[in-house]
Amino acid sequence: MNSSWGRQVRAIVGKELRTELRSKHGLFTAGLFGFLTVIAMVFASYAEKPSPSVAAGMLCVALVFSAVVTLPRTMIVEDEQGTFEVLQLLAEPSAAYFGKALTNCVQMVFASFVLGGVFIAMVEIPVARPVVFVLGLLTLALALAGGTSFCGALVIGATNRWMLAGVVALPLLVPVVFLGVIALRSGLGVGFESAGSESLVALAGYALVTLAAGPQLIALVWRND
Amino acid sequence: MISAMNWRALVFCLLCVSAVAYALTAPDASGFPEPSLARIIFFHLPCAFVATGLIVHTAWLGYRYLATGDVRYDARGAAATELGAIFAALTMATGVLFSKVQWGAWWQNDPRQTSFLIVLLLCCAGVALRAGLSDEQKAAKASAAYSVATVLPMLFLIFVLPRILQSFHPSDTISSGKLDGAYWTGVLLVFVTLVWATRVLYKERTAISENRYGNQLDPDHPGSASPYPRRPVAVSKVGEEEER
Amino acid sequence: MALMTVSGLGKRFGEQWVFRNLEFELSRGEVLCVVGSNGSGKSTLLRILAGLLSPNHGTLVRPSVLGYSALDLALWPQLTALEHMDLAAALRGVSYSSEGQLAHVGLEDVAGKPVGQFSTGMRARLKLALATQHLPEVLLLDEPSASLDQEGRDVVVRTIEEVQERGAVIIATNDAADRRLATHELELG
Repeated sequence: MNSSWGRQVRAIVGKELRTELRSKHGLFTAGLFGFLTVIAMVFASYAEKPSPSVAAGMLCVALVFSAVVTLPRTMIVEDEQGTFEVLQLLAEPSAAYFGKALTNCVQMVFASFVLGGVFIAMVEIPVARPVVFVLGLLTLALALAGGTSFCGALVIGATNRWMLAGVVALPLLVPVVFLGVIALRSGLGVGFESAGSESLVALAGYALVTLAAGPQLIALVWRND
Repeated sequence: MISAMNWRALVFCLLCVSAVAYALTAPDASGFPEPSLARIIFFHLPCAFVATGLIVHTAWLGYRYLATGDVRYDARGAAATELGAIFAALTMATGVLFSKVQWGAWWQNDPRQTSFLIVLLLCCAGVALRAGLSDEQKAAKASAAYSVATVLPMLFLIFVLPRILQSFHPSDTISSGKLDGAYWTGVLLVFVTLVWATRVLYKERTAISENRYGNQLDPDHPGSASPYPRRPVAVSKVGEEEER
Repeated sequence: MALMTVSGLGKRFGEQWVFRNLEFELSRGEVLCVVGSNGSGKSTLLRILAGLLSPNHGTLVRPSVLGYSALDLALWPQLTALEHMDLAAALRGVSYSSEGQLAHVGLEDVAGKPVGQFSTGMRARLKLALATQHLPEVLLLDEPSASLDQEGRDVVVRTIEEVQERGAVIIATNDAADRRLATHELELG
């Protein structure tokens, strides 16, 4: 990573966070959507407490949909408000993408911990292995941010960007859901701790691959020479 | 005298006939509730092989397009993406049919069935992504990047996930003796026939894309064979017209 | 020594070619005015030269330091004019005074105001400041005088003359006043 690339990434992250703090659109959407999903699930299981396995699946689904609905926004909004061209003029495509993906990581980690906390408090399930659970939320959030950022960046220029972002992101996130459920289930005390650790490594690997390869691929897509 | 094209058509017809004849005359499978209907495998397995091959081929073409910018790779990638989705859908359809007749339900929540459904969704998402971008250069680049990015998850879903979890789909159905060893011959015969048919469809579909790209395919003669009218372009130094 | 060389350039949307086999060179001190009727491809050409669109044909050699301003180029509505300049400076790695550059285009009094509250003319001035912030060798201006008052037009003329001293300018316009600044003209149509 050269200094100019790092400087551009920092500048983009700063711009994204400043814009987000002023509009609060992404955080509100992610929070509201996730919170409503959690409430609906808690309401649905009102009569009987969900088992840790079901609870892990419910939380994972809430986080996945929250990510798919909100995270592509950082990419798509540039296209919608017409500022994508300014971004192309000013920044290296890979730096612009990576800055935005990092912002998504911050946003998703924040949303995951808030939603995870609210969910656990509401369904009153004990967290048997807190470290695995917290690391599960963290790696799941990073993997979701990596996958959805990539898909959001791909659909820039499409007529039906939002729907298309969901269509291309959801199948790509299935391995994340699969691993996320195992990790969270292990955190809630179901199954072996080793299964949880393996899925944590796999989730971290998925996040790492998408965050590392994403800028290279998106640079090729966004570049116009 | 029979031309080369007719020869090929004749061989293809013979392949089709022999594949169908072999499938109908092969011995019934043992160890299945509906032994005669296990013949679905003759079509199901080759479709899955062809779909997997096309998925890997699409990713390779996507990588080549991104690396070189040569539109020929995109034209082939478009063809491979669509054919891959078609064969994945055929695999799914025959799999669901097999599930109904042998296991009693259309859907079993079987890991391989579920993972292949996701593969089918990924293939369809690739087609949707290309169709969703009206700028053909953007569509080409985005599809190429998506095919490269999705090939590893797809291979994971096809080869790894079903082997981690217990599946109705044992990988050794034929070698374990549940199906007659001769079934491999049938599967191979249908596979060759499908590969032949795919190659023809692939060429036809690629030709359609290449026609759309027009003379970009000939970098040595830009514009020389254009079917489109060339618009007048003039560069003049300001003041020249007044002087004249 | 040419600053920019365009050879065999062509762009099409779908099956419709906007222009084909475009050839020109641009040297220091030149102002090229691209003229033509609506839909003739003036803006498309400038967007290709700026690197925002890929051509379908031809080659383009352009300097690495290039400025671009267009009527339809959008800015971030939540950020102020000063934040735009600072962000662009950070991304480009330049350290010129943002306040000074805003003053140059007459925006010093509204530097702290979000761009969402700017008029079209004020945005055009900010885009001009952004396009010239890093002292480009070639400046690309798409309809630079549209929506500007006389003071704004004077800013445009002054900026063009400044860039002309160290590099070259390409203007896409049909405005008679802008065309008077041109040393060369390219007609698309």
